[in-house]
Amino acid sequence: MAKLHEKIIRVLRPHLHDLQDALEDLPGGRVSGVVVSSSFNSLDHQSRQEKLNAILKHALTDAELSAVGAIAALTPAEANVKAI
Amino acid sequence: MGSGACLAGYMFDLSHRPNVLYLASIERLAAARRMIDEKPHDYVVASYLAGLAVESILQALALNAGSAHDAKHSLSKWLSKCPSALHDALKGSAEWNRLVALWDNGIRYLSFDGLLGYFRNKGYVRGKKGGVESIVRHLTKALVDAAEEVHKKGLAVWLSSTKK
Repeated sequence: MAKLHEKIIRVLRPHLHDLQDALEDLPGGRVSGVVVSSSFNSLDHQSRQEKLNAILKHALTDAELSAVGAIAALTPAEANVKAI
Repeated sequence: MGSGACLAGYMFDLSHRPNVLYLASIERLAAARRMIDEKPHDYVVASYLAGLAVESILQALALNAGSAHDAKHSLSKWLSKCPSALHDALKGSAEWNRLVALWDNGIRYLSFDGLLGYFRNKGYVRGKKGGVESIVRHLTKALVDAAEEVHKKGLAVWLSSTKK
């Protein structure tokens, strides 16, 4: 796991209950993917993105933030329920 | 033969060509919209095609950038192979979040009742007012709208990357 990936999870964990890490390390040091937490159960999609952004903006440097790609924030049900 | 085409004894697999995927993505999204806007409605097909349209434009971008086709159907994994311009465009996107939360390649195997159960198990039906058709229509429309926004961003990156 790359350094930025580790840092993202470390700063998110205190804010997101039962955090599951499905982020990926991409070429060039970028990180994107999915995080899963029951803390998203009561939030709409916009609010989840705002919550992630607020936490990361507070804890990462500008250079680190620019290396963070799209991160989808899912509830455990959204992550685990499959159509078949 | 699958998705390949046979011509004069030669097999051409068109399905993994970026330009074919780009054009297919536009057709799939238009078809998804028709399934909602025109009768007879088909919410299962609309939901499936909306995500397939996005999967197709992501694959077009990823393959055009030199990635291999791994035959998996995770939108998030396909995005990880796309150019950074698309990551920047989708960063903080509620529509990308909704699409990843709601779409699954297996939707195509569901009946109408199966789709309702799928949305219910994802946690999207509780507290919703109205009849079953109205709830499924509302959720399908939200999925297709989200896919359309993501698809637009994918097309913009495609058009700028293929101009060069």
